[in-house]
Amino acid sequence: MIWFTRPSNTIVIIVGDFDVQVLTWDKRNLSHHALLTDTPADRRIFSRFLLDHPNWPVVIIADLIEESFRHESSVHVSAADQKAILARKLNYAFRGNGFSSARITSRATDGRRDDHIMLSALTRPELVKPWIDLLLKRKMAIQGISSVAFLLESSYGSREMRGTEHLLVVSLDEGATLRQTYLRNGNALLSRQTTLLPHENVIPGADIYQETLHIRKYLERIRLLPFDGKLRVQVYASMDKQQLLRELKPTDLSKFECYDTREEANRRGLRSNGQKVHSTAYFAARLLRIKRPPNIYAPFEVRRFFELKQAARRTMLASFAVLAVAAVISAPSLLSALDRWDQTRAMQSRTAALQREYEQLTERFPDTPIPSKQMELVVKTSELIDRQSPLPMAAMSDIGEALAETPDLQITSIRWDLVESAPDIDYMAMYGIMPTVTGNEATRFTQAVLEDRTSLKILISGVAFSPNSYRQAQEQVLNFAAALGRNPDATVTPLKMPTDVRSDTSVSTTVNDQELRAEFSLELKLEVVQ
Amino acid sequence: MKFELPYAPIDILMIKWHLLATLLCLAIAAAIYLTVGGMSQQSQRDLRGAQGELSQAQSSVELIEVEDATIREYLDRYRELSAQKVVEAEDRLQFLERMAEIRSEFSLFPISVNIDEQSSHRLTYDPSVRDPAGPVDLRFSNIQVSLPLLHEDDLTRLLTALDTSPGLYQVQSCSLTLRNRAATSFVSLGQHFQAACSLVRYSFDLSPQS
Repeated sequence: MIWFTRPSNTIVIIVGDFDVQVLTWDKRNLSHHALLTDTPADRRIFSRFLLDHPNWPVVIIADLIEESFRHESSVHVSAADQKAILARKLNYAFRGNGFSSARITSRATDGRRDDHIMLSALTRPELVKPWIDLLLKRKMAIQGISSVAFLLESSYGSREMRGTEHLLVVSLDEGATLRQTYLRNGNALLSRQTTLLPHENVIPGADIYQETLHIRKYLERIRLLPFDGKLRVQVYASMDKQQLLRELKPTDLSKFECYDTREEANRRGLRSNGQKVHSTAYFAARLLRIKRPPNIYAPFEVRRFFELKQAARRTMLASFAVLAVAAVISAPSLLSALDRWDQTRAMQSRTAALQREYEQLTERFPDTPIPSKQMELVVKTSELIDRQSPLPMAAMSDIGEALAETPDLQITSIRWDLVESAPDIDYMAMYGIMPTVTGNEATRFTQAVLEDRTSLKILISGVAFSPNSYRQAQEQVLNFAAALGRNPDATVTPLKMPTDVRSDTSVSTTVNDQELRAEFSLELKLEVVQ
Repeated sequence: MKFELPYAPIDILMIKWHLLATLLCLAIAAAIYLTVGGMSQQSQRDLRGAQGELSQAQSSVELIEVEDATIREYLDRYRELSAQKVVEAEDRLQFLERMAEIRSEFSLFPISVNIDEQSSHRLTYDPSVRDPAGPVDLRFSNIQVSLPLLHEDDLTRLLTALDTSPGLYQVQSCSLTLRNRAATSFVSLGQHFQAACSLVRYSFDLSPQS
């Protein structure tokens, strides 16, 4: 997220008590552009400058004596109530000043465990407002209003400041304007600007040392700094840091470090463009390399164009994200679609090959009078009928051969019938065939033929002769039946014998000298096999 | 409850390019999504179409191969049936003419012929047959023939001659009866036997009324 929070092009306006510095942050360099005062001529210069930088966001940094810090305590309450308490205290402390801020800095470790509150405000807003009005008139996006104290607070993560519990940052500008900012665990709790007595060509180390002692006592008195708290003092000034350091007297509780603002500014990409290097500009350059300066004092009315542009930017970023998501989501579908089209082309080429094969087969297709399926049905049906169309002559021949063995028998009639045999119930049940029971006799017979279930039934009637023996007549018929029964496909059933000799019926006959003549009949059943 | 923007309408114009870019991005995103969705659906349709065409082409080739084999297997036999006029409408005049020819040829006694009304039966294709052809009706007529015989071989000659005549005949029943049961000698010329046969004449109708 650093790339998102780090500013690209930014106008930095440092509002001092007597003048205003106009700088631009561009390509990781903070360049000085103008030093203005609140005069009509300078306002015109400022307006022209804004015309040259129409869409640049603006950061206002107050470097004023009139920045007030108050520390109070309040009962610890829930978030909503806390907000109301802070607003009430802020209003009470600064009487509706629009450039104020309140925050909870810590919580007491004993007693009611009250919240420690810090209230701060720019107590002379008229020093800032003319420039804000000009910016809003040009609809410039004011990102926020901050101050030196909060710039340093935001820079707490930098290598020079990191991990220090009690830090006093002292900056000296114009040789006499001394700002001391106290940070406890990275939280700016106090910032004060004083003016040193000017000394020609003298390093004001002793004065700085005295001022740090004063502020330490003050911090101890208002209980921000414990009496035994070890204070790290960083002094930023546009002068030889070694000489300055010699003027400062470190103790067990106060350690001093000196930084030459000119060297540091050069290292941090601050282009002074011939102007004196101001420590506030250096602090701004150091912070802008990492992130945007925080907004502390600007209300929404001041920030409204910035918020509008931010909202538009976020919306655009969201829409880019939607675009990216749509592209990512669609990519698999697109790849699948391309893959399917590849498959389609492969199938189309196979289809074309098959169609060519079909054309070739069609060209050498034999001439046919009717469709092949019809032809097959007709031929198979006719063959089925033909298979079940025996002629009576074969049976006649068999009867003739059997009769040759029994020459005394006389056949009086032969009835030859091709009859419908009973359907094979098991077979039909297995294949789900329903037996045909509808239609007239002819239709049923045709259906039986089509179902290949016909058989032959032959009824042979005749007369047996014997001059004087009942048994002989009986045996002639039995021999005849036995001769017929030699055919393995035949079943012979005597329906009527010359003499009914069963013991369960009565027999009547006349025994005399005449020749014995008795009728008989046999039923012959044959399967149709051709 | 009316929501009021903290900006004048003219202020909104400041971000017109952002809004246009946003709308453009959303439009492009929607276009990508819809286009790719459409392409996906179209590719699915194309693939299904190609699968269908391939399947159809495969089945056409298989079908024509099967038809080719079927025709080659049955064509000769069908031509025989066609030559025997089995696939034509029944010609009763021709049948009677043929009976007269047979009687004359074998010097038979007068033949009594009765032909019943023709019936038909719609043949069904085997359920395993894919893509069956048009309907085929089996038409059949019962024919009763009776005649006196000098000798039982006359019946044999009659039936054999009929069997070799054009048409598909099936003898359903036949009876041969001794006319004079007391006779013991058949030397004299006369009507010794009486024959009665029932036949079925089949033919196929290849364009029956549905």
